[in-house]
This record gives sequence, structure tokens and C-alpha cells, in this order.
Amino acid sequence: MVRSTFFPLLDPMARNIPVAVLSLAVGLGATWIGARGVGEVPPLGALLSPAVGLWANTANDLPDAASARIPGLTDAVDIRYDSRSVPHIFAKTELDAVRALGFVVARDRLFQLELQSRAGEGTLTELVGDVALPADKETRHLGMPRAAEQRMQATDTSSALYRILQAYADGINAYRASLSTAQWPMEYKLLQKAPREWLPVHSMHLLGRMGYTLAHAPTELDLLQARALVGDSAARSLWDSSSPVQEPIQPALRSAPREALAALPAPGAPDTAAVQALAALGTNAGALLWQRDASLSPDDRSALQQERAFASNNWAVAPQRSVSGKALLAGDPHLELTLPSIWFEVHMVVPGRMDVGGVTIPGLPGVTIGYTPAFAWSFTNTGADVMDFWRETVNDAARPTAYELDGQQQPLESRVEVYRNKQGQVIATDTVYYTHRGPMRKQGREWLSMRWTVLEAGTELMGFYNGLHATTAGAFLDSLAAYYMAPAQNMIVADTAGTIAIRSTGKHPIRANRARGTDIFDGRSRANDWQGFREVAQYPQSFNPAQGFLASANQEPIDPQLDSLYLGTDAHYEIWRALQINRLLRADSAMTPEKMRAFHTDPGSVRADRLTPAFVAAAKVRIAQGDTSKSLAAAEAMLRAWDRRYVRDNTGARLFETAIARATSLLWDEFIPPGKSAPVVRPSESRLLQLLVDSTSSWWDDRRTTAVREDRDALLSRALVAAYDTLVVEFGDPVKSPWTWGRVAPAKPRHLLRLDGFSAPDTPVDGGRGTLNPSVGSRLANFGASWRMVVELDRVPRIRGVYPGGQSGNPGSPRYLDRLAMWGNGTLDSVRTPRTPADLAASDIRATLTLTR
Amino acid sequence: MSKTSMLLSAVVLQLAAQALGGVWGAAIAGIITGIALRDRGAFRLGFGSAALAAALLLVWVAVRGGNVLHFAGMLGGNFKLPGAGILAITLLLPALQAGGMAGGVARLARSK
Repeated sequence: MVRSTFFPLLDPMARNIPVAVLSLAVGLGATWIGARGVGEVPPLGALLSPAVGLWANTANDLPDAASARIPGLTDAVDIRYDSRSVPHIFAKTELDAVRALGFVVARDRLFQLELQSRAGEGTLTELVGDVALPADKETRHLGMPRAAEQRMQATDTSSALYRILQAYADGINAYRASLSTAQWPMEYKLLQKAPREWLPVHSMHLLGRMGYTLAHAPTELDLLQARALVGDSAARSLWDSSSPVQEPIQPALRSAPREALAALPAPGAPDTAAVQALAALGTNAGALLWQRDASLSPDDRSALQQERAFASNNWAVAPQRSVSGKALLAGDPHLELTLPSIWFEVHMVVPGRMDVGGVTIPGLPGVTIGYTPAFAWSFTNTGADVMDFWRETVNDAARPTAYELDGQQQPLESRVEVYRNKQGQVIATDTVYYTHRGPMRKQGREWLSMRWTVLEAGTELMGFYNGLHATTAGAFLDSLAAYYMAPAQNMIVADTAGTIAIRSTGKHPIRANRARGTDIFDGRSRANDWQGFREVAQYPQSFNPAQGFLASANQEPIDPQLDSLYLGTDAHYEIWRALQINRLLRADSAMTPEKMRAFHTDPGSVRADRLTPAFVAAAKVRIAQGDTSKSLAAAEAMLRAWDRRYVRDNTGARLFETAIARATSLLWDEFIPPGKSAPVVRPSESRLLQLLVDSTSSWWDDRRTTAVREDRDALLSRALVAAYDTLVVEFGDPVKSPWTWGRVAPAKPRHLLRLDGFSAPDTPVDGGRGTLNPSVGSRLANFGASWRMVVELDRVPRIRGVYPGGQSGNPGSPRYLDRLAMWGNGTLDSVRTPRTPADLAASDIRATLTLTR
Repeated sequence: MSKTSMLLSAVVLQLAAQALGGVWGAAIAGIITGIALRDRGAFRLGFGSAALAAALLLVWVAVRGGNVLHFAGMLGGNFKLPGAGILAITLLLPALQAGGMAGGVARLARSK
């Protein structure tokens, strides 16, 4: 009946045609949409095919027993995955171990390998599309891909470095070649891209990317902007001086930090020279060249800088201060928390040659932080100033071909950068010029060149490989110092003989005339170039100090009273965690690995201890003066009741953090240029310590309120009220719905592509800014403890460790998030250290893999 | 051939086609089903066999260690859909492909 109603004039056979067409349209339409997608809708048919789509990735990705071939392997390699999914590689040669390392890393992290190397190469657009164009441009403008390519070209193919990089590539490519399209990592399926071949230069790109992450913090342009607003003296007191509290990495033989809380010079009249320089640089058009996070607003850039300052901790305790009489070492590098983690845990054994375990960064063929049977080591970022700028005089302001140097015209090198999309089509081109110093770009009317140690690095890997044959802490550090250029790291080591040592290793430039790297230099003279680098003996360092412990947490490495040669300014460092860890270590001369573990998530904060009372006192003063604000009373009561510990169920930390943010916003109004609404630069938070002891400093005055002159207590009270009112709006009445820290400030490691479904659930943690565990997420980023390790250097070292996430980079794998809960709770897992395959108990073996030629 | 036999044959065909041909497999198997059947009910047979095959392949994923329901929730998080929606699309897309192609081809074959 229905058919005849719709097609009454057609005979039964003819009626089949329209229905057939309709039916085919459904089939073809579903197939088309499924295979190609429509508009914003991805090709769901391909993605959701149970056989070859994303579902296929959820099957067990670590079979009990597997075998594979790697061309070039000289002998079979036996790999045992323990119950923590850590591969233990047993090889007969070091190069075979590296080939196997490439294979096992690719097996669990193939997409991460490509994404991270492309980030250093400036070709992300070819993988993820046009959205990455600003990031790629920044990478190429910094000269990173050119530097990596030049390093590879300069590396002899018969050298040990080249052979290691090639062996690693062979391992990765062997795994890649073994995959069917159905086995490609999910991200490739989502992006509709195929994994690319891994080349040795890709490891160089990744090394450059690590340099970008850890050693890219120029302050010259911040100082220039500050000078143009508050004058030279005031600006330099904030941006061109050392930290007001000294608890250096190289111990200063004191029983307490040195405090130099001198009053800050009052903001003065704009520095005319700086104003003119800024005008020439055309800064009104936006951020300055090579400034980090240039695409962000000044507020967001400043917030991110503060968050990024949550870098890393490491510390070591000498035998005389440990209960066991053995040296102890803790590693706690803080980086952006991603899924998968930046780290992959591995152990490699080559009898008689190498026995090393720890964590590797996918893409770098070696163990970055770890242990051998003789010693263990960890890093924190030195943060020294290793990037400088020169103002160049070119022959043609529009299309330069030469620049002036010592009265002569020197030819410029130029390199056309071509950016392509996922389909390989060109989406943008630009030209980057190079002087003998480094890349040169136009900013406003000026041409600025830049020199950066990261662009000159590349042999670091050899320091690690040679160092693995060392048997003492000192020999290991010396091996690294011989090869390691950038990014400079505070390398801490402890060995089984009881030695503890630390050295801020990396090339630290020496400027002409003992100049500081805080101003832009005149590029017309070679005399203004770097004059060389510090000798290793001049690196900040300490071996077996009398105090019996060593600690670094991104603080100023050496007290300028001891060594005034420029390394960086307060803006390059952070003081709070260094104060906290030294406080803990000084207080306990009977240290144990368990106490060290607890330190990782210790909720104490010198920052809160020093700054909270100022808010409470200010509120009390205002209330005593007759301020009847209910918000002020409630905020004062809440802060007063807070024990200043960032445990996950505390309810005061959120108010304190918001109050600090509000206070600095109000405080630094002097850095709001005419016509703008927010400061363009913000000094380091440590400057608050200097201001708090100077209650009537003119910095406290909010110049926008011309009728009144605020003092410390007025400004802090106003910030406290504003913070309280903001939080009531954001999180509700705290009486009814307490601002529990774990709820309002959880850690949340995010998927590399920022896909919500593949990101970790909100994870409440003990810790916050200024504590040793600053794992707090924000809308901008999520930095935190990326690998925690405690080692007791007994005759056979005992190691425990954890990182957030899991060994697998596959979101459908049960090994993707299996370590997250342990990390969130601050507990550590026992790391296995078998010397032979037989040392790993059968019950502790999760899977085996045999690699052959 | 009984209806049960036809359904079983179509499901086996779909299993092979989806496993080997991915997103195109269901449509190709649907065409074969339509040509073979040339009778009423081809749409339903194609639709049902493809959905059933997809479901069986999902079960196979689970048998091999995949946590299908949990992963459906994760995937849904990326597309702002509930996990059940992801499962429904997973079954529905090949079903529409196969049903549409089978129904259309069978009708065309009958009209000649």
C-alpha cells in the first residue's frame, strides 16, 4: 500500500527504480561520510571500524610473547617486560641495545616520537594542519631546524654519535615497517596521516626542542619595556639583579639562606633611550621578536612564565646524614604533564659494557635520568641566560644582503622557510637571515640578530654514553661536562662509594667586558661578541659538602657574593622550592628513602609561610581602622585558619593563590603603558619579599586611584577582598561549598593533541605553587612532577620511581594510565634491576620480545 | 536457502569484508548480498548482517583484551558524545552502508 501510494503510476517493476536509487543513496551516503567525513565531522566509518579503526587499538598491545626483525642487528636481543611494563633489553653490543631501544620506544610511543621531533623541526603543520603554523614559524625563526641539519651534516657517518643515531633510527623504522594500517597509533588515524620514516636528524630536532623548552627565557626585552616605563634604576633593580634571597645550588657554607631585602628604588621617570629603542622596535604592534609565548596576551604570558617556573627538584644526602650510612639521591624533574608522559622507563644491559636504567625521552637514544650499578643521577634546569641579542646595521632595510661588522660589509646567509599543510601544499613561506651570530629578524625598524647556545649543541649524547662507563660520581660528571652544551642542567649524582656531587653543566657564555646579558648589544663590532665560555672549574658545583646534602630547585646556582660573573638574573630563577627543600634537609640528619619519597609531595611552602601572614596582618589593620567589609572579614578568617599546607583537602590555598595573583596585578600598575589595561611585564614574585618589609614604598600605590595613596596594607586588603569575591562567584559560598584544594586545583595531564577524551581525569594532589610538588593545572598549561625517583646507593642500588600516565602511548591500552593513581598519591614503585634475563622472576614478567636480524 | 542460512552467510561475508576492507568492506559486502539475494528483504538482510558483524568484531576486540565500554566513553569524550552513542554509530554506519547497497542493488536487479 505504501509503495502504491508513493508511486501510483508506475508498474511494479518500474517502481523498483526510485526505491533502488533511494536505497543506494543511503548506502553510498553512509559510505562517503564514513570514509571521507563531512565538514567538521571526521570520517567516522574509518575511525570506528571495529576491525581497522580506533577499536583495533584497544586490543592487548603487549602480547605475552612476540618477535620481530631489525635489519642491521648483529645478534639476537632478548627483551623482558616486567610487570610494570618496563622493557629490560639484554643485548650483546651497545649498538644492538640502541636498536632495541628504538624499537621498544616506537612500539609504545610512535606518534609521540614524530610529534615531538616535528615540534623541533618546525613541521607540525604537515602532521596536524594549519593550526600549528604560528608554532612552526617560531621554531624556524629561532633557527632550530637549520642548526640541527648543520649539526648532522657536520657529523662524520663513521663517528660513534652518528652510529648511535642511525642504530636508534633503524630500531624505530623496523617497528614502523612491521605495522599494518590497522595497527597505526590512534592519532595517525584521527589525523589521517601515516607514520613517517625516522631519520637520525630527527633526534637532533628533539634535542633542539628540549633546548627551547628549558633554555629559552630572554629578559632583555622585558627590561627594555620596564626601563621605558619606570626608568633605568627601578627597572634594573627588578630585572637586572640577583635573587633577594640566596640559597644557592653551590652551598654557601651557611646554616641559613642569605637575605638581602634592600628597599627597591621607587619607580621613576621613563628612560628616554629605552623609549626611543622601543619605538624603533615597533613594540606597539605586539610582542617582541623571540619573546617566548609571543602570541599570548601579556597577562597570559606572565601567568605562564610563573607557572613554567615550577621546574624541577633534585637533592642528595651524604652517608653521614642517612640512617643506612649510604648515599641517597632523589630526582624530581618537573615538565609539562602530558599523556603519554614525556618519559619512557627502560633498562639496558650489555654484559661487560653497559648496565643502565631510568627514563628516556622518546626520540633521544639514551637514558636521560637514571642509574647504573655504581651511581644514580638526576637533573634540574639551570635556567641560566644563554640567549643574547645584537642590533645589526644592514645594507638594505627591506631586503638585506649584508651587515656591518668592524667597518666591513659581511654577507648575510638567507634561508627560505616553506611551510606545508597535511596534504603537502605550501601554506606559507618566509625568509630567515643569518649573521655569524645566529638568526636575524626584523623588528619594527630594527634588525636584531641572536646567539643561543642551544643552536650550537648536539654532542650531549656522547657525554651520556661515555659517562655510563664511569664508576664514580665525579667521572660521570666530568664525562658530561666534556660534551654537554645545552640546555644547561644542574646535574646531581650520588655513587655507591658515598660521594654526592652537583654541577651546573652547560656552556655559560662570557660577555665582552664582563657585561651582563640583559641589554641588546651593538652588532657593528666583533668586540661585542661572546668572548668564550666558562671553564668547567668555573661552573657552579660542589662535591661532598660539609653540610652533608645538596639540593637544586632552579634557584640561582651560585651566590653572586662568591662569583659575580654573570649567569642570569632573578627573573631566570625561582627561590621558593629551594628554600623549602633546604629547610627540610637541614632539619633532619637521619634521612631515609621513605622520608625522601614523602618530600616529593610535602605540602609545606616557605612561600605561603612568608606571604600569608602579610595578608592576614593587612586585613587586621584595615578592620581595626574601621573597614566593615564582610568579604574582608571572611577572607581574613579563612586565611588565618589555614595552616599554609597544600594538602588536597585544605580550603585556604585557593584564596591565598588568588589573592597573590590579584595583589601582583594591582601592585605592578606602573608597568601598564598609556592606553593599555594590563601590565606588559611583571617582575618575579620573589620581589614581594623586598616590598613587604617596606610598607610605604611607592610601588604599593596604585597610580590609577589618584585621590588616594595606597600603602602595603591597603593594597593587600583590596587584593584579598577581590580574590574572595571572585572565588565566591567561581566556586560558590565557601560555607556551603568549601574551596577544597583537590577539587578546585587538580592536576590533569592532557593528551598530546589536547583531546579531552584521551586526557587524564582530574587528579587531586597534595602540593601547589611554592611546594616541592607544584602539580597544578590551569587553562594555559599543566606543569608538574614528571618523574619521581629515590635511589639508595647500597652495594646494589635500590631504586623506586613513578611518573604520571603509563608506559603505553595508546589511549586504548590498559597501560596508558596505570601509574596515574600511584603518582597522584605520591607513592613510588620498586624498579627492577636484573643483570641477566634469568634474574627477572617468571611471575614478574609481563611479556617477552625477541629481536633478530 | 532458509532465512537463517542466508543471514549466517551474509554475516560471514560481512565479517570477512569488514575485517579486510575496513570502511569500504561493509558496502562491498552489501552489494554482493544484494546481487545474491535479488529479493525483498535485501536491505534488512544487509543492514542486520553488517550490524551483527560489527558487533561480533567488537566482541573479538574485547576477547583480545580491549575494554570496549571504557574506550567508548573515552572516544565519546573527544566527540562530545556518550559512549553509547559511539557504540551506536559503530554499528549503524556499516549497517546503513550494507543495507543501502544491498537494498538498492537487489531492487535494480529485480527491475531487469
